[in-house]
Amino acid sequence: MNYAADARATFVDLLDTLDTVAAKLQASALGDDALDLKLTDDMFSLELQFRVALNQVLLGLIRNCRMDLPLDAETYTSLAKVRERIGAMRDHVGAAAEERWLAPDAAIEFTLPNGKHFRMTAAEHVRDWILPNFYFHATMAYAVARRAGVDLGKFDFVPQMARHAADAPAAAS
Amino acid sequence: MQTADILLTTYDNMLGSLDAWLAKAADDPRGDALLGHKLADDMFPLSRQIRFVCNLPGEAMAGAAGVAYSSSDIDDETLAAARERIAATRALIKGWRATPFGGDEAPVELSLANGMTFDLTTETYARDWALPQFYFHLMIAYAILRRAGIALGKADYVGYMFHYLRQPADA
Repeated sequence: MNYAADARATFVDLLDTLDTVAAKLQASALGDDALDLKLTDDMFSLELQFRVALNQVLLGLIRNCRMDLPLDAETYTSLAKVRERIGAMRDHVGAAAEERWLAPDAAIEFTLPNGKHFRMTAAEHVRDWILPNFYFHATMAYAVARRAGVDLGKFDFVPQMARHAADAPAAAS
Repeated sequence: MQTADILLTTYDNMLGSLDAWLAKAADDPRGDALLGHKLADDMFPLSRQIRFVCNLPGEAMAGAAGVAYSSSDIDDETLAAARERIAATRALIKGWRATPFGGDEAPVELSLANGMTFDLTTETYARDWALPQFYFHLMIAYAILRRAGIALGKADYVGYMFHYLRQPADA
């Protein structure tokens, strides 16, 4: 498995999932008020779930591709802004050509705000840190929208599966 | 890093986390009743989220490595049983480490209970189905427990990261 190609594919697919969640919220009666919703009082708001999810893409590109990108620190004030930032993340992933990624066994080190310092390989960083966190916050965003009554189904979470459907035009050609 | 390693390591790491969450749930006075909790009325209860999470490793081994595996269709009624299921799944994963996977381009056909069929490869099956499905049901289980007030945090999610803890070079 080419870890860089697979990371890029998953980034784009999960960004698509988040864009669908944001678009369906935009079309709902909730509109931008949805950004304040939480699953429980002590969890992040939907706005922060979206933003932390997108920041996982940035952290992946910053650490694995040595790309010079700032994290998204400013509150997303509307669903339109969320979708605009999703578009920007897609562009960043597009710019992160495979040859820009560190070798899978190259070392990556990082320190969390609480002072904990970690060292692992580039491929481990994607498998054990970036993807778990990206899936976490993306699923929480989906869950907040589901609980709010937005009509989301399993295939909104795995949009990439449409490409693999046995009767899909791409598969038949 | 091979496809099998990505799948099995993620599964094992996260089943370890799920087990720790259920241990905390078992200390709650509501105990086994938590297994019936749902995130939304039209979503599956915790017991089924756990069952799906525990079925996925075997289903992946059947799809990508040709291992004979029958998915469970029984939801656990006690947290103790759910934790036994997790332990049994982790034991299977340990054994599967030595089982050869198909090559990344080897075809994998996926047929769902609803009649949908997908033509995948080992690589796309792992990346586009086996991992996202697993994370989805795992995270919904987490969300159900958090909503029930079980005290879980990020450290409970990525406990396996302690394996990578180091002193900074300049410390």
